[in-house]
Amino acid sequence: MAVTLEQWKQLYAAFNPSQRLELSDADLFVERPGAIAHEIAADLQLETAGKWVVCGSMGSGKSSELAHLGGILQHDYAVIGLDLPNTVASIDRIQPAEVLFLIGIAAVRAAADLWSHKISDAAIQQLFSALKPLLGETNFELQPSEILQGVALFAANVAAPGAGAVTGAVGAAARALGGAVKGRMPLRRPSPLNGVTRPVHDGEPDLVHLQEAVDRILDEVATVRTPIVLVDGLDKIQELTSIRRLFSTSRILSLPKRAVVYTGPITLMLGTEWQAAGSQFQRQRLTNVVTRRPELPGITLTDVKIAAGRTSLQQVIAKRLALAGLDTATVFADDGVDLLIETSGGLLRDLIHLVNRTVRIAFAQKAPHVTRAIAEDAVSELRKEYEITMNGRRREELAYVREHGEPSGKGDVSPELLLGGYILPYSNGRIWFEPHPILREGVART
Amino acid sequence: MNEGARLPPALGPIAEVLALADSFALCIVTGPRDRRDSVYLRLTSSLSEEFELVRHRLDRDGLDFFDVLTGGDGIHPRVVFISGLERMSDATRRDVTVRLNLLRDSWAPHPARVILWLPAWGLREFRKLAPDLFHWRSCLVPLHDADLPIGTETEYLVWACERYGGARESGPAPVDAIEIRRIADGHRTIYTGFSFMERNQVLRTVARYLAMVRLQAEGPADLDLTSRAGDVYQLEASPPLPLLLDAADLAGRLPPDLDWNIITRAAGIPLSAQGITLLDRANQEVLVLLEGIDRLDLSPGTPGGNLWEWLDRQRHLRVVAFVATYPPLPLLGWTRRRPLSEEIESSRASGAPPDVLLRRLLHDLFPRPSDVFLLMEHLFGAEVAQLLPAEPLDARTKLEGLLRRRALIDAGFFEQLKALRPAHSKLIDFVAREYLGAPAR
Repeated sequence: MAVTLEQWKQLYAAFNPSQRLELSDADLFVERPGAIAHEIAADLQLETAGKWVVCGSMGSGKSSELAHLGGILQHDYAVIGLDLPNTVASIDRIQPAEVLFLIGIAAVRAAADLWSHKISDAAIQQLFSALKPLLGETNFELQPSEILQGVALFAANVAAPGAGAVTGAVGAAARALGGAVKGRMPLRRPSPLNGVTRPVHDGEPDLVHLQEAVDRILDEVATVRTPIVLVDGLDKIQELTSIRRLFSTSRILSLPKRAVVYTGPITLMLGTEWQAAGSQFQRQRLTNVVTRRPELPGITLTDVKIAAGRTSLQQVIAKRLALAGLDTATVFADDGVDLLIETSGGLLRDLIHLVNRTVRIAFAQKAPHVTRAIAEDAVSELRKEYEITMNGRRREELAYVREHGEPSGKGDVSPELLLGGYILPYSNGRIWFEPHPILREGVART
Repeated sequence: MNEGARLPPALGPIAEVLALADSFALCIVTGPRDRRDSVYLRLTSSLSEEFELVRHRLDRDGLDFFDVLTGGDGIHPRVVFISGLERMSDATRRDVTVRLNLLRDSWAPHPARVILWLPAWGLREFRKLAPDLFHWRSCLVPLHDADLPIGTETEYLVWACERYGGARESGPAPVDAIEIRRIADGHRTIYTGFSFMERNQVLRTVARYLAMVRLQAEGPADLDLTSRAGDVYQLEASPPLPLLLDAADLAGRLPPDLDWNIITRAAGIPLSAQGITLLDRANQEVLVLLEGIDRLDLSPGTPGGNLWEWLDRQRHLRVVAFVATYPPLPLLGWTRRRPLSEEIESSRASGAPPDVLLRRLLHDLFPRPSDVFLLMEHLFGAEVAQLLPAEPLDARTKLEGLLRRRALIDAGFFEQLKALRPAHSKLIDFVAREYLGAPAR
């Protein structure tokens, strides 16, 4: 059976890289081997006040994993999912104390919206009062209702699957942050609370007051169910100084007395970056799916594990193909799908990209199926997009990684390549790094 | 202008994405710095029947995308072409890029397709500062000049402006001989026998001027270039050219239907419309003003053609630049074959104010009726409606009547003109000096 033009269109939508996997798309979620959501869920039994950081490559599925964790926990816990990028205008400016404050606000909103439980006015008042002394000399005026409405909860989908987290959340932010826009969704969100607090030191009385206020609210939520806070978005911060300010040089993110899980940037996988953060967080590294035997000597990996990795990625593709009523054998005429899986390096977003390009090329050629040649064209297209930004320094670093299995840690190039997905982490219990396989041909060994 | 509708193959992936996507999709196009108009032109030429293409310039329209992402005719899917990062300072560009990344999620709910133009040199920075947005791309199209072949006159003119445009350039850009020939042939400006560098300078000026004027008059309205009309005037700074020539000889060869004047360069440059600067036999710099020369028939055998052929033969002459900085404007009160300096002198001798000069100044600086109304509003404020005579006169006549009636032509008046047209302060000072007998302060 040939794939029709209409079906190619459906497939293109199913593999649209700009469509984030929401909880409402639970049918599309594929649990990867060694998934961390279950590990955290299990650890929570023993560490009720634990603090976790889920770090991994951009596009590796951290947000999806966090949403999945919310889904696992929602029956036993009061899941408070704080979607920071949709709450503040400039997440790169956010201060640790502001994250703490927004956790309290998210708890108030979640209690009201998800469990119809009103947090006491006294507790809310205490939270806002605690923030005031931290505002420094800015002219920022606290507008409680605006801030309450402005917080975006991704866990809203847990309670109401299919509600459309993004629209709902941004709409709330719009109402709160964009009063001046008269009902329009403000695509440039002026943040009411974003980089406006003064620098604070651990143990400072004003900070302690804020911590107490947040804890009081979480305690009130606990009368419904044990709260757990999931904070998504800190992984989007690119500047090392900002990352360190949040996770290493301050302990503020670990202050709430209830459990919190953050998504964090991949640089926290580097030993040097993790050193200081390790004393306050547990690190969950969301590595990429292993799809091929590693080149590095000393890395043992069973065929079963590699096969399991490939199978999980095949499922990712198959579930999306099914949206158009198709299966893998119908769409892929030969081993094109294997090429895509292997070349993706197990990075989910790149797998989606590759299939997306494959579908587009097949459509343009009016092909009845994806052939190996079409898949190769797609790989070539994506490879060029990586290579266009390569230079000698980057190639040198990739060669080092290929040889040593870890970034050199020299200068900014290691974090730069990690953040950009040029270097991918893998795990078999031990973490190792490899250059993205799409670049491997151009990377010599040192 | 006759447009072709075939999309260059290099832009094919964009057309494929647009054909397939039924919701938000992002395409990124990178290429040589100033080719964004060329890309946009080709997209509109070939896709405008199926899609509604609109532009959003980050440097001008900012980061509020709501209107542009949500608007539309409801029939054709909207495609938003975003550019402008390349026109920002480094610090602003970096900040805006970070903001774009953080605004990403608010784009997705809208069905508009977005095509983002990035200069090739900005791609790495963009990928670093906006990694999430970059990951959303459905395709990345890296372009080179060769990927945008020129097939229509508009494409050619846009290319000429992109290539030769940019008032901030210093020094002539290298031009290869074939391109020079194309410009020369295309616009019948016959300049042979000059040195290569001289010819570059001349042709760059001529090509840019002609292309800009044509585009403003006939090109698509939403090209970046058309909003840069002010750049044309920057060419005033181009060195006028001493052309060693017998002015009398030249004057005898000028076609009879050409308005021309020979005046001293000092007097002429501030008023220069179109013309050639010469060195006369006495080694004095003179400016031959040739109004309307671009409207002359320059075909071989015609008076205009003969003139250019004759100029072409003056190979011993050193032409440094061709002064053609203003769009051609009809000159009110301009007397053929009467030097402007004489006109000024005769005005002074009679004791009457040099109305001719002033009328010409107003005409040059406020050529369109809307410009005249702008000036009137500036001068008379809210009263303008009451002051306007009811007779069916054109705007310019009404303005002149008002000025006469209210005796407003004083130093303050010229200062107001300078406030409205600061780029022409020198010209206004010149006329003020002649009109008032002292420079405008």
